[in-house]
Amino acid sequence: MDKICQKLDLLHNCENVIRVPFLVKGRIIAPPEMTKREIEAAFTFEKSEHPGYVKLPGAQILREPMIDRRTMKHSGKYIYQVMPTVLAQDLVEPDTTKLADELYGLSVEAILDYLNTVSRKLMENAGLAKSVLETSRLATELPGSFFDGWATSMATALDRGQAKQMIDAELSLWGKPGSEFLDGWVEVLSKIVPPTTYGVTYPADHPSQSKSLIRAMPTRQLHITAGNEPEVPAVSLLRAILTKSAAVIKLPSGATLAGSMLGIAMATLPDHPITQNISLVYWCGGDDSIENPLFEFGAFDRIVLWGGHDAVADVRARAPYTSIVSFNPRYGVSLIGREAFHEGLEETARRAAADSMIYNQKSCTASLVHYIEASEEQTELYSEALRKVLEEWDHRIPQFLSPHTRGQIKMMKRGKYANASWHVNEREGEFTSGVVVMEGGFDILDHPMCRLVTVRRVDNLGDTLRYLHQGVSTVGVYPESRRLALRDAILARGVSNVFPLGQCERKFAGMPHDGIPVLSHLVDWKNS
Amino acid sequence: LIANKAKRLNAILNQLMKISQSWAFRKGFDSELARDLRHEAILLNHESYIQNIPAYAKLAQEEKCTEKPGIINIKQKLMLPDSIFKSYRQEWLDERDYGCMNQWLSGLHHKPVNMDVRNIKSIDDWITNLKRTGVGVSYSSGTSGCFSFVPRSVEDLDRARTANTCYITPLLAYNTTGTPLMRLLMPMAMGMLSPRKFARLTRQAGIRDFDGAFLGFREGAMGNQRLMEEMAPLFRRSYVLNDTRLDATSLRCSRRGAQNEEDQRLVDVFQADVAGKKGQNYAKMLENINRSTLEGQKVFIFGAPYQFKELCEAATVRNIGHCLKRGSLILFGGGWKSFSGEIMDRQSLVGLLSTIFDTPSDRILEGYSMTEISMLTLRCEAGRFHIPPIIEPVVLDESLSPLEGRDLDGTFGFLDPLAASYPGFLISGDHVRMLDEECACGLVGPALMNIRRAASADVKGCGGVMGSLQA
Repeated sequence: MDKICQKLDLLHNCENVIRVPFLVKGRIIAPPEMTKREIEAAFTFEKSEHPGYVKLPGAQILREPMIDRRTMKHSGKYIYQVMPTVLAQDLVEPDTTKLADELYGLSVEAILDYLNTVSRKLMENAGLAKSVLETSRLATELPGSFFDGWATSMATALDRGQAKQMIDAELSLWGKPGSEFLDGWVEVLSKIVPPTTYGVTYPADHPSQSKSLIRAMPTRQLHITAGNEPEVPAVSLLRAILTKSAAVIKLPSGATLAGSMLGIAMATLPDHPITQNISLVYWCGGDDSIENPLFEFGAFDRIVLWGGHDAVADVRARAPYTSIVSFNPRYGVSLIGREAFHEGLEETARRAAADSMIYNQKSCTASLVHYIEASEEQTELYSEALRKVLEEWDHRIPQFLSPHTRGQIKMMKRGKYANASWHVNEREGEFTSGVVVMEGGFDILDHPMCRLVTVRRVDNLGDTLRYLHQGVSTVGVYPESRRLALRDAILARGVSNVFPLGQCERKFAGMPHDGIPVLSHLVDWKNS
Repeated sequence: LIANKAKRLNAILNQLMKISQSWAFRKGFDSELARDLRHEAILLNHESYIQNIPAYAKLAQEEKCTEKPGIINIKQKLMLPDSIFKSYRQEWLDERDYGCMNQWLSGLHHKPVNMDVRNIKSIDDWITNLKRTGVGVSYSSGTSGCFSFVPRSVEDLDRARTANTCYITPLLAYNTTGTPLMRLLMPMAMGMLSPRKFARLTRQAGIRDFDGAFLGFREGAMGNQRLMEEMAPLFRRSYVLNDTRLDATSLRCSRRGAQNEEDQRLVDVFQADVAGKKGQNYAKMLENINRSTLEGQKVFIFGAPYQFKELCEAATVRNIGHCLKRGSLILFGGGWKSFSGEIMDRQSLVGLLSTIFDTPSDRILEGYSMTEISMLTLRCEAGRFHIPPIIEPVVLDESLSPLEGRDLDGTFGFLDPLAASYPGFLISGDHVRMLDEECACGLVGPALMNIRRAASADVKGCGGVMGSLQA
């Protein structure tokens, strides 16, 4: 990896300019040479609808404001990522026969070996990985330690045992492990229903004709990922690899560096069918010249979409005949029973805060609202305890708040939620974290997701059921007896996970995501 | 002391109205004097808000800005988002708890609102009864159906009416509606008459050679609707698209869903009146317009862009000409985006209107305002909405800090000295570009361009409401 990077001068921060390559079907595509002056001029003279992005002939440039980690404010400087452009026709794989002969024919063991090698390459090049993470940290809005968590999570995801478990669990059918279906045809002991159309059936004239066979056939996948959690693109890539798919992963602007590094690791095995059929690229969302051909009928078998309802609706309209697997924005909530007031309020607040702090409240499972079974006075007590816990987080892991988020919080405090009870932590007069007790309804779309917890009082935890719906991914409940009592009722409202309070970041290989075993939706289940 | 301050405020506002007249008629304009007067009025209002408006006093206390803060501090710390006017609990309206609504409104009004609510059954009842006690409530709605209620005193309403008449009359007379005689007499009238007398005379004289065609309702308290009711008496004759009341409860239920059978009945009746009779209503409107034209009258048509589009569609279906008499005027306003997300294109709408009604594009005007501001601004031929010198515009960055400069891009806010009975230092949900330079149309001072809803803001406005009713 180091050799590739040195040879092509890639992923190296030179005066806050980084040359970021793409992996396009096994080939590393480097960006063109550009001086810093040319790059800065591009942002002065080129017109772009998207601030922070410019597309030039042969190059795309992302400009991100750098964050001073000491003050946790924008430093006034920028970091530039120079990337190559992409052509849709280079990404689509029309030769399905070739895929069937090569990529789709790989064994599960071969996939796991591949992952092992990529993982080893990353470890052997720890210096590069460290430097990429450090560069990423210059502009990421996530606190540094949250970003470091990504690296650990990536290492776990590439682990051979974990990967095998994902395949076996998520593609399991008929009581058989998923790897059997991914490896080839699996005979299932079925009772064939006689034909009803004409009442005529032709007898089997070969032993293979009387068998019922099922297979998990790989697909061609387009993954349009999101950047709320840095691991999202890596998760998408892993799913594509584990399903032996010819895939295009569109990286989000906040994860181009890490994505590109993964691409280089894969490119160390240039002739491997997986590398030859994966593309890790970036383009500015909404670029019709790229997206229209990719959304055309037949270009892909699956579109995996991480994004809002508008984005999903847009893609559905533009790719009406392609199967879409979508992960919509969701959020978590916490349900806290009145037992908390007898069994340790501070400890409960700590657990609840831990659930709110998942990826600094940006994760789809992070708790945004705490419902508490309490009197008004107790609610204020709990909110104050929670504020203190958040204050500790602020000291330990200060967060960056974008100017937009700061404005959003001011808007909330001075406007629609001016009458709510605010418990706020501040640094130099600026919000760092806080709790807002809402008596009336709260529009979740107003939530800024930046260490602000909405607390709502209820007379009975059961009353919270009316606030739960498919938009809620995860509910953390305290105490355990109440969790077990409410679990089915909560899940019946469309929620995907009900965990003990403080354990909502729980993940394991083969775990359903947003109510589905994802790998199972990424393959085509075939009969023979 | 209070009486003296009120008197001083009144005197300043009168002076600002005179300055606005002169500015609008391009008769010279002392921008520094206007700024000083504006600032004095704003500081007087600040003192009054601190004493009388609890929501403002609370913010000032939190920001430690109760004593003479200075204009820059007001801009930095004491501007309230327009969402303050929807900071009530939706449950109160759902449960028809108008006692709580009164209490909430008291927090935003300069006098406690303690009207008897025992017989109040609906939002419209509440608004009607508030009016009887001297509180004029206008409302606007967003995609969510969460209404903003702005409580104005009778004096504020009257002052806003006077201020608008005082400056829009010379503005239009200068190059749009004025005859040579009018243009000759205008400076004299502006010089001799007080703003109040000028406005009264203008209203009395009216524009009797015009008939008014309003793409709205017979009555209602929503933004555009209020404006229609204000303007209607100026014309020889006026007619509306929907000869019914714009019912707030039905409107709210149609966005948020009916809570009970009674609500559902209201929504059904309302939708039947509006959506069910849509074709019929537009046909009647076109007949009225034709009749006015046949009678030799010019026609003034006012509505939201979405409605004009539908009017044009109706006219196309009828396949008969609708040439307006020369000099007729079309005015639209209320947002370009419908609640369903459809964005209207200004250029094509103007082209369509121009063709169908045989009206030159310079007779097709566009207004920009919002329920929370006292003034209406009109788009000039150079495509800018010039802000009359009464209003202090503010452009804020993402963190809500005021920006300085002559070419700014950000969230639009304003300090409205005409707002004495409710907090008038407000941040809108609109993103704008504001230029402060001499315009090709001859007007000077700050002007807005490229107005669009801020990314996170609710789609709002009369245009959206009308669109939603017809969905």
